[in-house]
Amino acid sequence: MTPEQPNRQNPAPSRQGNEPIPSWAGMDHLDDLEAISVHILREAYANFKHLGMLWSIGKDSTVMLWLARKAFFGHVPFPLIHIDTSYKIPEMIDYRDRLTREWKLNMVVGRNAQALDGGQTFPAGAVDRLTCCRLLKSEGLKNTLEGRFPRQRFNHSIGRYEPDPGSDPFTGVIVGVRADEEGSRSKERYFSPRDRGNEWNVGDQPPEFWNQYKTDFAPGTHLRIHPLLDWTELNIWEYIRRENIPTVSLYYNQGDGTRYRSLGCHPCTKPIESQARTVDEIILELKSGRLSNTAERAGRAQDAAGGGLESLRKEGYM
Amino acid sequence: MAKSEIQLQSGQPPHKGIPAAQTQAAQGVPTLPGASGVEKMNIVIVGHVDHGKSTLVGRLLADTGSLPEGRLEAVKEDCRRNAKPFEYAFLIDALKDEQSQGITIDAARVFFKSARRHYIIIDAPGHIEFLKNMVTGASRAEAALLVIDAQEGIQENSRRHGYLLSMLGIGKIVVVVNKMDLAGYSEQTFHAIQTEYRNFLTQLNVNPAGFIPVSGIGGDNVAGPSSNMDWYKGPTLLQALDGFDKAPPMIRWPFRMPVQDVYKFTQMGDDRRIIAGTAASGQIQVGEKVVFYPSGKTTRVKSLETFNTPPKTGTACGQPAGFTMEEQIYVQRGEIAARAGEPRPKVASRIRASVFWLGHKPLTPKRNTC
Repeated sequence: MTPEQPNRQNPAPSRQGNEPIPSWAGMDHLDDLEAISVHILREAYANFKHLGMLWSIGKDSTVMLWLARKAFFGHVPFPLIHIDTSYKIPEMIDYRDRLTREWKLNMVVGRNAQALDGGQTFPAGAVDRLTCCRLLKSEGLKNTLEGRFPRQRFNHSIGRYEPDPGSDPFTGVIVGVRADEEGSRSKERYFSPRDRGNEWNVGDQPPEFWNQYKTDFAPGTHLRIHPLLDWTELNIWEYIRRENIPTVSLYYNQGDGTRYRSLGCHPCTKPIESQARTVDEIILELKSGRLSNTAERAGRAQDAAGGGLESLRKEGYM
Repeated sequence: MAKSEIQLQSGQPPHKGIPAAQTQAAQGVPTLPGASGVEKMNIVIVGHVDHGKSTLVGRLLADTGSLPEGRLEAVKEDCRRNAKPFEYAFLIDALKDEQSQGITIDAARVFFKSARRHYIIIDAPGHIEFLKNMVTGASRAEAALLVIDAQEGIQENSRRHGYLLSMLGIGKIVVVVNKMDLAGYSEQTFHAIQTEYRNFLTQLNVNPAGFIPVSGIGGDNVAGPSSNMDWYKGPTLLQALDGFDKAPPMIRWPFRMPVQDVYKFTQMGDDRRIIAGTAASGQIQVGEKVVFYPSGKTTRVKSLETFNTPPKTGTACGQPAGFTMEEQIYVQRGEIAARAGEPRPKVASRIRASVFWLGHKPLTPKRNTC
């Protein structure tokens, strides 16, 4: 075997073959997860002209936003997209706009104005939870991504949102779903195609080997990119602690003995009973406390309503 | 963490059938834990359709208390209402089509924690139609469990999956002979399958770490030992998983970093020109000479760039990296960065390869190009 052809059994010695391995070469489980996510984000950025990242303001997509700043050395070189259902808890919107200013984010907001103006919402209007989710989130998202609904963009020079003249469809959309959240998400690809109707064909997903991803797409379709699939809820909080990532105050007990474990619209998301006031206390609660055995989305009512998340997701929900 | 410490913690005897040669200590390469010391491993579970892979994973989760409270009860209640018999597989086969047809369509990631480490178990489909999903799942794995039905014996996909594991380079394999309850817990049946399948794997140059007789339905030898098979003295499935050691990082290999992109965010007020990528092997440090292939252009690493970390003096395989250069030479995505003085990558325009074609249509030579 020539020196040019090392193999796994007999690695050709490198120049420092006998030197001790430096301590910075070590990687723990959070380093591993970060490395995979950063690699995926860079692949997405290299392959898509019209790329955007969905930012729900929750802890997962905020970690994903942080990972983008890791991948691009402090910058986020694509727009962040938030679908505003108008039912989000006010602290979430304040937090979104604060980070938008501080981190100089290219922030795009979309909403389903038709459904909101027509009162097709739950519980105020005449529709049930799932229909409300479909209209405000799935339809709002689909039409904002495709450029059919008007978009608002944050103008940093005037410090507020203004109508965005651009309506180019996004062809790559980065989404912070995790495989451990629920069944259909456990079967996702890192790069997952969505057809013209935004539908997901779970029975026939493209192959995805090693760190090679299929990134081409037919006209009128887009790809969902999932950098957080391998992360668990606990990993997310461990990483928030390690990196000191700012999160919304709603995740912490403010003194009334409750906090949100998962954030959504206020009519369908309930806080849990918890004394955890800090990231450390949340991690402790997840590891050994009463939450170590309860599903994270247990407080999300739309999952339990008939049909559930799989049906919603096949039609384009996150 | 050293192996002996694990055994002390769990009070288990040394695992039979896991050759010592597979441990890292035996290869003389130290483990490199990061700050938290927590280790993560991806395991794929493969085998022929209906040989009980999802049931086994469901059972493993249930018996180790890895399921959220009420999940088992909810699935049982759903089965009762729909008048279908409960299966542990329904804990994993979450899609409606999977449950109605009793078949796994696509690989699921299942999260699981043992005394030793964190696992992602990839439950791969066994039906021939979903082979590309099986390979997709297996390509992410560091070790594999290959399941064979004791009653049905070795089937087409038992062999095909074994072959694909060897092709993917997954050398750490434990063979699980499942449904021993249907085979009367027969030692003879187990040994017959073991002999036949070991011979098959030998032809592929694969040396399995062991064979384990289990019953996914009954939980025998899954998370705990079996009182039905006193003749078996080896590890349980859970012990066998914890018996796998992670492959040592390829830090002693020559440095190879495929250039993923070149960044210059001038519009954002940043003048750094950064070569970004994740090294596949080796290491490089600031001030060292780097060579790009195929062009052969050379410069030195000026700085390693990061966000929200202390300054770095070097980067090693597996770490996402970015460096600036002493001279601004033209480099593109797709080039390979190597370290001067180490064995060079071979530049060629023709390669010889074994190809396993997974397309919907048959492979057409000269037409299917990449």
